[in-house]
Formats: sequence, structure tokens, C-alpha cells
Amino acid sequence: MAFPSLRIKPDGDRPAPAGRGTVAARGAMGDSEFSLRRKEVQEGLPPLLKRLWRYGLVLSGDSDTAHELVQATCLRALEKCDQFQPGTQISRWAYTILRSIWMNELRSRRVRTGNGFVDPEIALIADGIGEMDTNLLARQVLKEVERLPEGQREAVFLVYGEGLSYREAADMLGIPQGTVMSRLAAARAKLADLKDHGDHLLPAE
Amino acid sequence: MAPADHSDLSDETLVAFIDEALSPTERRRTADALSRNAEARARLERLRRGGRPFGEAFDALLQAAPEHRLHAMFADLMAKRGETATVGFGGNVAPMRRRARSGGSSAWQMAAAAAVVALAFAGGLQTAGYFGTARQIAEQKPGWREAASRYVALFSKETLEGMPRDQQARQANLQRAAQVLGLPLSDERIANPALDFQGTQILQLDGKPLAQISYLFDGRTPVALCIIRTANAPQTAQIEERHGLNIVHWVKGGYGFMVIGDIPGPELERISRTFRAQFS
Repeated sequence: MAFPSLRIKPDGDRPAPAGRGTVAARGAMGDSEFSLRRKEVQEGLPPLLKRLWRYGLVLSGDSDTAHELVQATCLRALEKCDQFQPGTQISRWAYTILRSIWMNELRSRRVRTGNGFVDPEIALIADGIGEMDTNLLARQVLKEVERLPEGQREAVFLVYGEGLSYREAADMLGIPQGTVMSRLAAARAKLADLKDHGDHLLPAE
Repeated sequence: MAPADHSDLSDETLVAFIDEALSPTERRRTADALSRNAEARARLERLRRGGRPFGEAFDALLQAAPEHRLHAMFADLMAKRGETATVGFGGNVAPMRRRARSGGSSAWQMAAAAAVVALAFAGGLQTAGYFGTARQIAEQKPGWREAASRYVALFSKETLEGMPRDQQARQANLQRAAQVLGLPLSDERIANPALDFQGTQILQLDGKPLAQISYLFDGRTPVALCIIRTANAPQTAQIEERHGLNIVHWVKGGYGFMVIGDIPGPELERISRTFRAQFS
């Protein structure tokens, strides 16, 4: 299946911060250091693809966009591998890239289709693992999460789904820790209301 | 003289309280203040009602990721850049270890957790044949300890509670594992004074049977003894960590053994010593 072509600007359109551009950094760090970073990025990305896709899906609510986001993220990461700090978590770095591509490049042009990330189709495209019906409860939870505003949904995902601490989530989102906590509180309040008003299929917790 | 008035019982604090993200002192102080503040207790209750088994739900989403398509895309990307993908399809990453944050355990959380695990089983726990293909495991080739630990990392106490409890079924599963491995597995041999036996599963890794014998440590922490046939030379016990779990592994008499669990290394080492003696 073909995916819409990416509209990622080439490196040249996007000046890197001083001293951190590919050429400058490469020159400064030397070829062996550069190769080391490139290798870490090249080897670090494949194990992350599924998780990146999931993050893209949580953000965009659409599986094609999620795929596109992963592709754009990998491309950007490979191009900017000199900016990766060896020894740090490549997952956080890649998440940050994906998020910035979403915020700056894809979100604005994406009209939400309303299919959402728990459409049965999602289950069926999963490389043949189309057995989501054993997973109704999980799907129901995802449906509820999807109804949350983006900020709350993302906080719920990062903290409860990815296991980040409030601090780590805050750093990734570039917001104060207290804001992460209030988004979680708001999300919980909204989900409680869903439960209270019978607008759900979940048994009581 | 009303400390409650000075305590922070904001929704944010209450969320941190539910998520067990407060320091012991803050937690005590909050619990104290809550005991004197009915309004805050009501808010706490509401925020709790907003809890869901988020982790399990997001795990299910991970299972639904189009893995092959993503890897094909990456390989394509590398090829276009004139590079070769140096890592193959070894990337079925287990979720990061999560703190228990989705609220108290309950039947539906167990169901959701079980459902996620069920994706890894072709059959299901109760089927007679019960030869789970653990497809995510089988399609990867990252080494058996990596594959098995990734799988075991998904286990919780609740997962094990879904296993057959009656003696006959347990025996039958154990003996089936013994048969496919060609390794005698008696009750005595798999018993461990530190562990409470929960059941046996047979998984398949690259067409090779892998027995996973599950236990609970301290009544709540899953521990597994995994056994696979191997052509590798004997190897003394070694300790390693994968996916946040401690592992003691060794090779003996044509079998690879691995004891794995989220318990301290020295404790696990003691546990493995018993097994090593029983399988010597």
C-alpha cells in the first residue's frame, strides 16, 4: 500500500542551531565519533518502530498518519544522527522528533477522519494478528482515551502507557511537571464522568 | 490546629497519591489530611473512578502495530540512503516497566491483562493441546533468553491466576512439557522452597519447544523457570538483566535453563541453585 509522500523539508531549509548542524558537528566530533553515533541511531531505531507507531497513533488517531510519522521520524533521525547523544535513551530522542514533526508539520494539514485509533481496521492490519476481539476491554479503554483532548491524552499515554515519571513526561512535552499532573487529573475527572453517566461499557473498577 | 487546612489536597496531589508518586512523607501527610477532609476524599474517589487499565490497553495497541510494514519501510529508507539495515527484525520491544498506576487491581484489569497475553498464545490456557505459538516470539530471532524474557516481562500475578488450578491439569501440562523437551519433569524436580508453583506452558521458539514453568515469589511476584533444548556446550550459571528482570541462566546436559523474575539478584541466585541441583 502506498502512503502519501512526505513533506519533510530537506536539511537545508531548516537551519540547525549553531554548532549543531550536521556538517559542523561532524567536523568537530571527528569521523569515528560520527560513525559511532550513526551506528547507534541506525541500530536503535528498528526496535522502536512499533512504539513510535503507537505514539503516532495516539497523537494523530489515524494509522496511516502514524506510519507516515514513523517514516518521517526515522528519516529525520538518520539525517540528524550527529545530534544524538550516545548513552542517552534513543527512544526519548526519537519520540521528541516524532512529536515535533507532528506538531509542526503534519497536525495542521490532517483532518481527523473520525476513525480513531481503535477502529477494527487497525486490528486487522496488524500483520495478521487480527484477534483483537479477545481484547474488547482494552479497546474500550482506548476509545475512552481517544475522546480526551490531545494534551490530556498524550499525558495519559506517556505516564500510564509508557511509564514515564511526571518529570520525564514534562521534560519531553516542554511543560511544567504540575501541568502534566493537572492534565492527568483532568483526564481522570473526565473518564470518571464517562463512567458515572453510563456512557461506557466498562464494568466498575 | 488544623493541619488539613495547610495540606495540599489539590487534584494534582491526589493524582500523585493514586499513582503512588509521592514520597513516603508526602504520602503520609496526604493520607492524614484526607482522613480529615471529606470533600477531598470525594474528589479522590472521583479521580480513582477515572482510572483504567491504561497500560494494558496501550499494550494492546502495540500488538496491533503493523510490524512488518514498519520494518520494510525502515529497510527501504536505509536502502535509499545507501546504507544497509544492520539490525533485522529483532525489535519486538516489551513495554517499559510500569509502575502500578492504573488504580487498584480488579477483575476487569486482570481480564485486560489476560487479553493482552492471550494475543501471544495461539490457543488459550484451557485448550487441551495448549501449544502456544507465542507468535511475536517465534517471528523474531533475538536469542531465546531475549525472546523469553520479553514475554515473561508481560506477566503479572493476575496473568498466573488465569492458569489452570486443578492438580490434574497442572500435572498434564507439566508432563506434556517433559515429553516435548525429552526431559523428566517431576513435581520434586521443579519444586522450589522459595516459590509457589503456578503452572506450565509450552511455547515455541523458531520451531523449538520452550517450557515455561511459572511460580509466584512472596505470593505476588511472577518468577519463571524456562527450559529449552540446546546444542550449546555446558555453561555455568551467569546473571544478567533484561527488560528490567533479573535472570540466572546456565546450560547443562543439552538444555538451556533460565530463572527469571523481578526479584533481587542474590535471591534469584539462591533460587536458581536449588534448580541447578535438581537438574544436575
